[in-house]
Amino acid sequence: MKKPSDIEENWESQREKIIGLGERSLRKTYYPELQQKLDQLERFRALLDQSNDCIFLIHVPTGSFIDVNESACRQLGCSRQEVLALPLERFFPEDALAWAREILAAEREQEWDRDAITTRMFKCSGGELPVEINIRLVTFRKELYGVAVARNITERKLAEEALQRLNNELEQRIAERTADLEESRTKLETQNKELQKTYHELAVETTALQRAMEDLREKDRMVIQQSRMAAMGEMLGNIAHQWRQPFNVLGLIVQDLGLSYESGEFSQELLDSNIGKVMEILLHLSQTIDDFSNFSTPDKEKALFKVDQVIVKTISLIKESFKNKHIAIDISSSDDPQINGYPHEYAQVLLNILMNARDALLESRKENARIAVRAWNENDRSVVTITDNAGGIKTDILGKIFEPYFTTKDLGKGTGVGLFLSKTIIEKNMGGRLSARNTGDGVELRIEV
Amino acid sequence: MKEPTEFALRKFVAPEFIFGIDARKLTGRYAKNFGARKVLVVSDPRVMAAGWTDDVIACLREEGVECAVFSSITSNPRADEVMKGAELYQREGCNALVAVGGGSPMDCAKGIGIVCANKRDIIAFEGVDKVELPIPPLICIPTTAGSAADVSQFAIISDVQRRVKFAIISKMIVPDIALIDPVTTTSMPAELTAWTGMDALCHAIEAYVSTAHSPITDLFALQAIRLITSNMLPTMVELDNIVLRGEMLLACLDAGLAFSNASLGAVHAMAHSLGGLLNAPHGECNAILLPYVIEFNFPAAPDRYREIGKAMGLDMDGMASRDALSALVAAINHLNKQAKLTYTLGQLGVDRGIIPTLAEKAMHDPCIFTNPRQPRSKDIEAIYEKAL
Ligand SMILES: Nc1ncnc2c1ncn2[C@@H]1O[C@H](COP(=O)(O)OP(=O)(O)O)[C@@H](O)[C@H]1O
Ligand SMILES: [Fe+2]
Ligand SMILES: [Mg+2]
Repeated sequence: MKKPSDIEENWESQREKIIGLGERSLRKTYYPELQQKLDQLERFRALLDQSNDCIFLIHVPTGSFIDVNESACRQLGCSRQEVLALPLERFFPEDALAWAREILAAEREQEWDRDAITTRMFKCSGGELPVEINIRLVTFRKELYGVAVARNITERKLAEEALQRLNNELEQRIAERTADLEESRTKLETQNKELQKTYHELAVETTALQRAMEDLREKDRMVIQQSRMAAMGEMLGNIAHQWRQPFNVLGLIVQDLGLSYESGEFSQELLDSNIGKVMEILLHLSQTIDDFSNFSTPDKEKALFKVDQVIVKTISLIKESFKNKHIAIDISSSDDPQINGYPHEYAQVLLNILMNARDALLESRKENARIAVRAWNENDRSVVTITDNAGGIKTDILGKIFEPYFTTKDLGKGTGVGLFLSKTIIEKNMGGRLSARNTGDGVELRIEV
Repeated sequence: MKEPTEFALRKFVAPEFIFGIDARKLTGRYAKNFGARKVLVVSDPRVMAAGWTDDVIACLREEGVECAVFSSITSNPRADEVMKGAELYQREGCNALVAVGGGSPMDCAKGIGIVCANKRDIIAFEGVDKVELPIPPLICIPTTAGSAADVSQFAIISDVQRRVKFAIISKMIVPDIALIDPVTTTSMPAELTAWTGMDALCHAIEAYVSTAHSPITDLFALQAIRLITSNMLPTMVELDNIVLRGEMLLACLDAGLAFSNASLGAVHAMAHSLGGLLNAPHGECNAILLPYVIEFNFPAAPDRYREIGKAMGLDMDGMASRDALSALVAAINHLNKQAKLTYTLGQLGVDRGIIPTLAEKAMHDPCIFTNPRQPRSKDIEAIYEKAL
């Protein structure tokens, strides 16, 4: 029954170990570990003793020192036994004691650190030790302890004094600097003067700017004038309409005179009657020219005018052409509103609005196209509304119609300045308000002055 | 005349122990004397249910010692359970251990102590003298009369991954005090009484024939054998007879003192291997294997086995070796039969196919090193096969 020798050996050594003769076959003992812990403790103790801070362990329930480090003994000039035997009162002044007692009165550890206080400690040898002291509560094995760390601040005190000296020196230097500053101030004043000069230059520039702005306004005026011309062109069309009928009548009258002569029916009576008719017609035509020229002349000065009159006059200019296009115009008025402003410009606004209504009505091919013009007084202001039934303005462009050059019309038909100018006239020149809103089936333009 | 080999170097280590009725009630006092502030009480659900754990906790509280309880352990303590217990020990800030129960809680408590003191996974300590640092104070209150873990330097832990039970043998894990109270064993049912009794008998027999035995361990081993043979069956009939329970617990203690110092043999090596694989009751495995191992070992220590027979009350004077062996095996089989331990390994679920694996693992168990006859793998396989 031979076995390989290594198995034999293993077998034997394992048996030896089991018997308890192995090197590591030890009964349980804590002594080596204890020794290690003691060494650690001693090392830690040495560390504490080496610290420059005085460290005191206070047993809270009895309020007495139970341990103190070497550094504390050295700095206070007493032995450890002396410190542990003496009460806290022997080492601290009353205010520091009160502070410490307050901290130690806490029943358990605190989350936060108390601020340190600066005080002094009484040495056994009689002197005093300036310290900054800090106390923290610790629970160990359910007992509450206070760890007080007192730092010798003699050197800090010295440093503070040095700082004070430096401060004084600094004040001296500041005085010197003040003189320097005075000098700088004079310099600054000179600079200030230069600045004023620059300011003057700026003012000159501003004047130039103002002038440029006036130029711009002038241009605005020119635009208004141009638009007026455009309106005049439009007007010519209207006049042509208005004049065709009377001209026809005039032709008929002249022909009637010729015919009656040939037939021998010509008489003085007939001549007088026809002359009367012709004169009436000529008077009407001449009146139209007056109206037209009045309308196209810009207003020089503000004047008090009756709104109803301007409305009637403006509409009379276009009535005929609108009738031709089967557009009915209703006028209603109350309160006889009056405006102190520019009647021709006001008329131009009305005309612009009426033309827009016409365009919209023609575009919409509405059966019973109608425009309602109403005038009345409201809160000491005149209000005129011009309403059509052309379908209204889409809400997304309603906000844009008063912008210059905004138009939805084909090139050549619309300019996009009509409402812009109208708004300028009413709001800038006459201090009123021009607004637009949709009614159920069309647009209402409202002029308030 | 004795041979000089009788005086080869031997060591005997035993913990302080108190044996007697109500010994458990001293737990609080001992815990306090050991400087315990908070103890981890390691127990198991069955012992908890019997009320012994609460009994002990009450003693501890009475002395002002705080307790945390760890009782989620299975019948063979697993490595991961040991690690969980160690975690609880640390988390609860414990500084001592109290084990209340059978082999499982006591072995688990030893494991927890090892892990907490040495800060490594329990697996790392398998084998002899691998524990470097002493475990925290450990108080054991056994509630079974079997494992004797309360006085031994053994801890048997299951490694679920490798499917083995491994042994940790170290003088560092001998408990600080065992409070051995027969009262706590009265709650054991008959079946458990038989299993644990046969475990104790194996401890005694294996320690007696061990190659590490000594004159001191011999005294305890033989006394244990005597007590078990005469008291086990009567105890199973009178479960709450405190005298019989006391005898059995004393036998278990004797056997424990013997095997803790003399170690064990092939029965335990093979039972550990089986237990790791099957999670079968340790005592039952031992009972099944013991007769076959005796048959194998007998030629290596015939005189010692005769002494065992004598201790069991057999008259073997002048008997031929073969007859002495069969008388001893018959006596053990008889005991097994009376105790209703009549299973075979096959009935426990062992398949012929796994026998080589079982044998391989048994060959590496530290218990095998003190078996009186040094077996080869195929010897072990043959024993398993016979026991099928
Ligand atoms: N009564 C109205 N109904 C519908 N849309 C209108 C009306 N009046 C003005 N608008 C819209 O406002 C736009 C701006 O008008 P305006 O400033 O007069 O410019 P223009 O008439 O040259 O387009 C018009 O193009 C038109 O889309
Ligand atoms: Fe066992
Ligand atoms: Mg327009």
